[in-house]
Amino acid sequence: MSIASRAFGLWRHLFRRERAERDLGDELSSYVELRAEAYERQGIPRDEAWRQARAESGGVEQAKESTRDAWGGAWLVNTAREFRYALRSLRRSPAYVVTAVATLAIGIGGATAVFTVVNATLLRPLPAVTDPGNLIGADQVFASTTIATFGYPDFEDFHDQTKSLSGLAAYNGTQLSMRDAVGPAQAWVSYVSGDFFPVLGIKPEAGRLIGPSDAIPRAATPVVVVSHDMWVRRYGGSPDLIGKTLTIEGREVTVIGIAPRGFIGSESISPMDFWVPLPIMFQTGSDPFSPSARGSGWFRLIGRLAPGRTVADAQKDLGAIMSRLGRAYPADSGHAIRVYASGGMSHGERDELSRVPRILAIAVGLLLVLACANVANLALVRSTARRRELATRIALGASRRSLVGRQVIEGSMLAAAGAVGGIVIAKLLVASSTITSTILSVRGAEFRLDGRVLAVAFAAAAITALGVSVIPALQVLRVPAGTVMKDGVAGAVRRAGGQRILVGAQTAISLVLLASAALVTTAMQRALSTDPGFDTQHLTFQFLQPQRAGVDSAQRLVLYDQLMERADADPDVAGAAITTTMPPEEWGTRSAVFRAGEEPSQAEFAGHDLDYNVRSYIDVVSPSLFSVMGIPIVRGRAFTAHDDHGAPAVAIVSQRLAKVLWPGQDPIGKMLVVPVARGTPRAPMQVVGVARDTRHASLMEDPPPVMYVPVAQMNFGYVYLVVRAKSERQIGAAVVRRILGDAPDRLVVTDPEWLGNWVTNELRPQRAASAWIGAFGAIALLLAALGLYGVVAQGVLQRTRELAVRTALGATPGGIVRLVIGDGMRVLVPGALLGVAGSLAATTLLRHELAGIAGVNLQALALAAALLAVAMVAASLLPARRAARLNPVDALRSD
Amino acid sequence: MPSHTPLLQGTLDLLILKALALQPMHGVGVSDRIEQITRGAYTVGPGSLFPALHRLEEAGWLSASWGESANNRRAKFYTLTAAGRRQLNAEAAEWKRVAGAMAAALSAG
Repeated sequence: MSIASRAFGLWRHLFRRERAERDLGDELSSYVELRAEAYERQGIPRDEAWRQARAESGGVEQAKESTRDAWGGAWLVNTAREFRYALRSLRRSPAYVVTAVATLAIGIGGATAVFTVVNATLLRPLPAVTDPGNLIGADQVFASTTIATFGYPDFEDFHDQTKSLSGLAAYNGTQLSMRDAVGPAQAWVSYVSGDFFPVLGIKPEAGRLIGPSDAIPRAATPVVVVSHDMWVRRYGGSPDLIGKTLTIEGREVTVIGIAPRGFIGSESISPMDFWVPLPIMFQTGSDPFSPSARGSGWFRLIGRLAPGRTVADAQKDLGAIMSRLGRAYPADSGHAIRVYASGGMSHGERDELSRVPRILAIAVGLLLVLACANVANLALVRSTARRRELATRIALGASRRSLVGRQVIEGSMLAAAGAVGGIVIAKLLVASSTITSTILSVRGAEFRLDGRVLAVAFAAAAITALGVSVIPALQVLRVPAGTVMKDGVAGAVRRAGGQRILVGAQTAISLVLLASAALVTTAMQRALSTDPGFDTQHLTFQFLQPQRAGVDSAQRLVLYDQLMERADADPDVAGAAITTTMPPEEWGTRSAVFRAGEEPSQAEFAGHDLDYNVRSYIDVVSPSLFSVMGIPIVRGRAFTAHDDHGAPAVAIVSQRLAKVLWPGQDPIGKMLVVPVARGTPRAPMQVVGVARDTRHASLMEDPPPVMYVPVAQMNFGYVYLVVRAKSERQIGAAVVRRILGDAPDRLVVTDPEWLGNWVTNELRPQRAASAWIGAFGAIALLLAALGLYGVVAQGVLQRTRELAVRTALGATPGGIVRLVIGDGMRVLVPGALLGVAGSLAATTLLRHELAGIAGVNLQALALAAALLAVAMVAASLLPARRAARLNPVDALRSD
Repeated sequence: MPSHTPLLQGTLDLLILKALALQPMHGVGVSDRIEQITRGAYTVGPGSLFPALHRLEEAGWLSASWGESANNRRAKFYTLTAAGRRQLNAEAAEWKRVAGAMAAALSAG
């Protein structure tokens, strides 16, 4: 058959529709005329001939209809017509449309927003990196701990001996001070081995990148590569930058190139501004940067698999090298290595980044399911109400297929509108930086609605459309033509099962969300109301880096004394102290500690610090710390100015550490040892006091063992200046600056911070999770209550006649209310039981993901259940009261 | 009214093509002609006739134009095209083959 004639037919029937219609009308009336004429010729009287001709034509309209169906493009035209019907039918129930679309928009919007954040952080591979699928990372595994970093000589051995990798690089990064023509600044600087850029496959934007010849230990060239972002932001994208010099940590380095746009280094949490050859760090003289330290060092590893090799090959290969190293060097003995496909990101980062989004993803998924269930429920109520209409249509010859098709079209239209609304909501959520930063703060991460996000939104909408239309459609299929016409609406009572299951499921889901929110919130409240063991309200602290500022250890003590004196003289200051850790600080300095005489030899200890079980936080503090921070000494004495360099080494232990080292004994006077891996052994310290326990690592966790050492007896390159304000208000940065006077800019790198903020920040993941899950829980509760209201109200409508009969037979209004509410409860109770089971599962999950969640919290669960019960009783009370006020005579007459 | 034998799939198209093989005709003509050539076995009402006519026209086997009936009434006339004639021959041959096979099968022992 000819394509041309088909195309012509399609064109005529789609775009010359009116003419085609007129033509068809003419053709059929001409048919009736000609037929009637033919009958007349056969001798049938004129009127009878016409009547017969018309009758025989079997309804001209129906003939037209089937002819139209035969036309090209009929499918298109029919679908368009179905859409018009659906639109018209939806327009008749605006309340239904608004509720359904708003519900779906919230569900889809929430899901899309969370996916956007996850997409921006977890799913996006590192920019500008070639073939990230072949990149591996490696962790060192000790007896009980996993750490991501290695010593430099170990890295060199892996680098030289590996057969499974085509390249292996060492790197890490930190915030350092810099100075250039623009002025002084803080910048993120990564130090990289010579293979770093080749392994990642990075091409420079301009100039060249650091290569193996720049990073030879002891002969590193003082060069720097600048990030594209920094180049544009700070240097205006000027090509003249290459060849200029700038100063990083007091060292002059020459710019050799610009990294490609988007390249942020190999850690997505901290995008880097500069890259310098790694051996430059050896010249800082700081212990972990030692070029000869094995065991636990300071460098992360990133490698690229050789062609045809797998992660398992690399695991075997590097594992063999690790055990060889373990045999050769005591510092490496007993260590294992774990290789993983990294895409250029370490396990820790991935974990850190994904924690809150993962919880939210589950919560949002539940919310989306709930939204679907709710709209399906609404659609069900609506189609039940339209049973009579549907039955009439079926009786008049409408095909079930077309009725189901119409349901699907209605569902799709609602879902499409919901998706559009959802994208708008997602866009608002994502654009609101306060909200995204409660989920997680990633410097430089972009939150965009890209194609993938939109695909997720539309997938969610498509699933919703199906979910929303299938259930009512099934109901259409089950309508036996005739029964509904006969029974009236009462016939539907027995078939509300699907709806009841939906409401039960909604109850369960909203209980899970509510219980989880209550769980996180109560855990957070507990953390906030528990005394951390130190004052948080009056303290402001300032991070100082005397080592980087070139202040040697003797001068440091002078500097600290000066600071204390200036603080004492300040009228706004009640006291000041020096400490090396600002609690709560999970990453404070920790070490294995021993009762004197039980410590291992230096050779045994080197590189095995993490293998010992009794590990304590070590805070190096000035004598004033205990009074300034408000940590009471419960036994013995505090430090004094006499506990100085020449005096016997002393320590104060926390109650917990005392209990671990000397259970049931008086710790005062006991000796303890903090071994060092290299160099002169540290003298044993005598315990002179016991300090009350503090929540040193985290407000959500029990107090860990802590020991305090006088600042005059242990050397530390980095300290905090803590200042206690006289009045109960936050001391301004100005006061701290006043105390610091004309300190050099490399001493003071960050801004002063109020401890109250610090504490609040620590709880940010919990706060975010609690707020979000709480919001979802509230929406879920609302949706479930609406759903229950629908079920009960409809039940009342369907049982109008029965209830009226009961009333007529003497049932009291109270009895009717009880009857109706009892009906609602039969839906609720199984749902609630399911919800309790779900909440217990959620508790396990949350305990795994967030610190400080103690386990099953009956109080939280009871709170959630009570909230649910109140909402549900309110939802069923309204229709129940309406039922009780029924006038039996009207009710019996009405149907 | 003659008895109705249900139309086999595709039979109607073939009957229409055959009915129009002699001369162009309007709808009533086609309908009557089919009744005549099937000896009254098939009566085709407008509900199935017109969809088929329009479908065949769109396939390019018929062409349609408005003209005057014998009694000077306006009517739409359908003409078999060259492609339609080829289609008629092909379908008729196929039909004869099937019918022959069926007849042979039914008359076998």
